[in-house]
Amino acid sequence: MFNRTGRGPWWGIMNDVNSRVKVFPPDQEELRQALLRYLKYILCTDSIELYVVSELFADGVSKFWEAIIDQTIEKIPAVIFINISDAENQGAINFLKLKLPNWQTWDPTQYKLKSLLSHFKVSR
Amino acid sequence: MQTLIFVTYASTEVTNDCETSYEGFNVQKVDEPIKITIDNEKQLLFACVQEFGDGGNLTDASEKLVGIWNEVGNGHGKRIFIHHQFSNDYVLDRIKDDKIKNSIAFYSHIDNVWPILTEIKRICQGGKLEGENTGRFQELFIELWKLHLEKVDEEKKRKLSIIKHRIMHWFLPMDIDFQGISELLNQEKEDEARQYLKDILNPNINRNYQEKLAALWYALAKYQLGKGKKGKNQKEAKSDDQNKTHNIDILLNKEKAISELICGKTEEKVINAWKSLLNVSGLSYSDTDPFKDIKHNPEAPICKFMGRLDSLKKNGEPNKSGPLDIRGIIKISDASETLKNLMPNGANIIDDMLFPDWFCLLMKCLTELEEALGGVS
Repeated sequence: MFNRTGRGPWWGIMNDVNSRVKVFPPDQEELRQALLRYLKYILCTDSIELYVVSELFADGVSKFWEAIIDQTIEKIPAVIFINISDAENQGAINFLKLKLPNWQTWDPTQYKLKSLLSHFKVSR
Repeated sequence: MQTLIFVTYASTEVTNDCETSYEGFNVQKVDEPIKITIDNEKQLLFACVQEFGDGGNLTDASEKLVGIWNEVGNGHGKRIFIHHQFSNDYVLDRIKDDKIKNSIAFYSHIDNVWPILTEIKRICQGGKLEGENTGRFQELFIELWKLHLEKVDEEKKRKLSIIKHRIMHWFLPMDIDFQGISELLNQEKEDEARQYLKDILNPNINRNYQEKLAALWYALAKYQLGKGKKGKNQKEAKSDDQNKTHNIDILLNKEKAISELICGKTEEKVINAWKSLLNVSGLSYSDTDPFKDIKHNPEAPICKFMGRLDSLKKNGEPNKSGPLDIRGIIKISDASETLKNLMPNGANIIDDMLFPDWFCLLMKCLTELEEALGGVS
């Protein structure tokens, strides 16, 4: 298992569509911008589809859930669920994880973002 | 006299008999509290306030609760258990009196209070305690009295955990940015790292680093930087204040500050974890009491670091000619030496600390405090 100081294997993520980094809840714009910068400079791409859901905000989970139910999301890209190991997540998360094909939970106090991204499935 | 006040939204807890589901006292009159007293030392008061139930008016419910509290009278040790159908926070928000608020714990039919209460109901059918059950009642009462403190601490721990997660989210964008820069520097890509920093310090990005730190201080100890600041015109000062208040609201979201949750704790591990947290956050405190004289320390490594970023941004330094000392800028200078001497828990402070290291250290201190608080209930 890797930790924050470790280096995991690396690959670039994925689709040749315009940048579609979305965060749930949507008011976390600063987080979205930071992720876009990271992807631009570290992955050298701005054409990544990535959804980021905070497990700790009920609003974030419900907005993501609604997007799936309303089919405003056509296909599910890579999903990062942000949580800290000792936290209780919001109820629907475990069910969502059963249904999603490509996701990772990120505990920012344990893993570097690069190590986390390296554990997604490759989809070029 | 010790008085345990139970308040439930469910009238069946009063009216059902002990053989029926949701075991009750088998008392048909629900508008007056059941009172069971022994030896003029211990009193259990059980009241039904249906407004705590589905569709009830919480303001009315809270007023009734205060009425019950006042009726018991002063000079008593009083502790309250509430069974309700709202979020605990909604209930607590309605109670203005701190003394009452701090005496409230919550119970439900799926927790460890319920079986003890059920046994009390069994031996107090009809709202009366028979002589032969007095000893058992006393034992159960003592158990509930102790359990109340554990429940209150559990609630504090839950609130601390919420604040910790808010702080984590608050600084996460910065953590990601500086992870990225550090990644490029590890690959000897200094020019790209400089460009990355320029992007972060772009004046169009609405981020004030010192304000981020100020919001942290408020979440820790309700310490407000620059309160009563002079030398600015009123409009500008008001706008600044509104902005700061907005940031603070996002982070604390009406929760108590951490200092309010742990104030009064005397256990060494709690105090040490608290001191470490303040030191890492750039706050100083009284030598004799770490909950007093809390103020920011402008010489603290994290204060200097955040100030340097704001200054670079304000003065447009990243866009001036000549290469930026990128490795120097992103280092939290002096952190290793300063913090090594200040951490009562002997945390492992690394040399050449960068922002992501500070972020992890801050989270570690919060976790230690959480654990210390969990261990003292």
